[in-house]
Amino acid sequence: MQLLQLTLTDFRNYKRCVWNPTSPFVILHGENGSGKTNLLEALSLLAPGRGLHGASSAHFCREGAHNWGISASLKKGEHVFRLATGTAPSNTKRRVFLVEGEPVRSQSDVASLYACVWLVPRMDRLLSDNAAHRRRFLDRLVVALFPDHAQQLAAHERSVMSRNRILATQPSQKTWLSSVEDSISRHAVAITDARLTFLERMKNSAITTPGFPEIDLQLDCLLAQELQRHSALKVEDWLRDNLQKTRTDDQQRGGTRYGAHRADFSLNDTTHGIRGALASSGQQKIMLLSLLLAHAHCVQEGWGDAPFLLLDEPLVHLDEPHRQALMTNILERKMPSFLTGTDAGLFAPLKSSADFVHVKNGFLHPEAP
Amino acid sequence: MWSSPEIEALIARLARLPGFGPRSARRAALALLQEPETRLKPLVEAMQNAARHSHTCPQCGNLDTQMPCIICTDPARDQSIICVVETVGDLWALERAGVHKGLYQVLGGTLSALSGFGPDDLNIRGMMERIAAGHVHEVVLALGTTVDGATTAHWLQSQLVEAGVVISRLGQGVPMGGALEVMDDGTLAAALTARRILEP
Ligand SMILES: Nc1ncnc2c1ncn2[C@@H]1O[C@H](COP(=O)(O)OP(=O)(O)OP(=O)(O)O)[C@@H](O)[C@H]1O
Ligand SMILES: [Mg+2]
Ligand SMILES: [Zn+2]
Repeated sequence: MQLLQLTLTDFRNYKRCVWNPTSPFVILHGENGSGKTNLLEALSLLAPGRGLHGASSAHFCREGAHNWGISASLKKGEHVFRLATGTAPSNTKRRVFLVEGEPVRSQSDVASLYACVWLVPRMDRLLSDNAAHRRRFLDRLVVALFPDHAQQLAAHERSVMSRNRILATQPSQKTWLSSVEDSISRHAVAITDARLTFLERMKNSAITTPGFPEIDLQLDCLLAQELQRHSALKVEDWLRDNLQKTRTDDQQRGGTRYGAHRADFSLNDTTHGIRGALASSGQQKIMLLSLLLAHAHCVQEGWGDAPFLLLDEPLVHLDEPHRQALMTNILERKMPSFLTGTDAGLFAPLKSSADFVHVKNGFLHPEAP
Repeated sequence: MWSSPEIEALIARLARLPGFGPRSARRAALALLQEPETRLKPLVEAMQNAARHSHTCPQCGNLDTQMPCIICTDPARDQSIICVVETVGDLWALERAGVHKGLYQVLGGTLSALSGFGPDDLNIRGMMERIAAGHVHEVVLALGTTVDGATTAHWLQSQLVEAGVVISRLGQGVPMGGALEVMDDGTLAAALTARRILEP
């Protein structure tokens, strides 16, 4: 996939910006607060979801403006199309997606056209911190390979929230609870199945990434264990059963204990025998980069097109050999990537092949090659 | 502002209709005002008539000017098969496709814990009475494939298991997250023809 043009209108600190990148590798450099991360966020928002900050739409609009929009012209193989997102003209609180100017019916339509994955400084301790963030990261990788996964996740989340609400407000509605639990079970099994299939694909397509350690990705999830032993229908029954049994408990705790939202994963460096959960910030970053590079390769194998790699401050925490290895890998594997940093000099190895863009106060200044 | 408050009020009213935005509302208002005899007045009359005479059918929940509605009272329709839909819009979509020859039940919504629409809010009394009276052989659940639609279908199925009627569901072709109202006639017809009987 290639970005031919990006237009931002009243998005964050960009009033109006039309940009035509000249290379699939882009370096965005500039001082603090200039708008580098905002630009990556814009690219992350072209996929369904809340983008790389997980922010609410209210924050996207430039202060003082009322509507915001992100529009991209993309090339996939020989196919050129326009994908846009922003506030709906009739209701500025609602966000819509347009493909070739037409509103899309379902978000999977967008997910099957466009995929991106990202690594931002906030994720520096992803492997040892909050499990929910980790799970969201994993699911983003899965969505890039199986676009329907996004819709399954949304359906599952809505069903779990519904169950919690019914348990809190009208627990005597047993049939309603059973219906919602049926929904949770179906979606949870589909989600877990997609995650497991994803892991398998990753194993099968594994390649060595020069300069990066070999990694091992494991799903840590009760449902996954069940699914590896029993048929999907059996596991659905098992889950329905458990959900019914834990109603009273869950009502008291105010949550749902069984479901796809309880999954976690672990990532370990098998070359050096380092467990991700115990690793330093730099080591975690190296493992995650290694995972993203392997993932991009896997998606490329599956779809013929790698997702956009959005790397915010990728060189921070990395030692010199890993910095070099990262840039070499991106170049050699031809992965469409957008990298940011305050110091353009650090990206010198990419000088002749990347598009260096100086970001200044909400404006982009491409540099002559 | 360069038009009077009356005209602005008309535009504001139109703009609140589904499918209209401020711009198309302005265009529609202009078209009406430019040709009062052929456009505006007949519309006013049609609206007044509709407002005076339309009601929700006490049996099925359809909107019509007669009570019970024209579908419920049509002797040519198959009384033994009831198609359950979420909204009157869905009923109209199915009628447009012209494949269902039985009766309808309009639920008025789908179960949604998050928006506070529960089992007691579902309009199913008319159907339950018909089933209890022994007139019904099959109930077709023609609900959208949204999460709430699927949950509602499951709930209805549990309610109907005891009643001894055949329960079926629209066949393939309904995309996940899809609402009936926006589907084209051909897809709808195919989905209804290929309906699947649900095992109790
Ligand atoms: N909704 C908004 N309206 C206007 N400005 C905003 C909005 N949201 C964020 N900003 C501003 O955008 C500016 C740029 O933010 P961004 O995170 O992109 O900077 P950056 O170039 O990545 O900086 P750093 O090097 O510090 O990471 C910030 O100064 C912020 O105040
Ligand atoms: Mg930044
Ligand atoms: Zn009727």
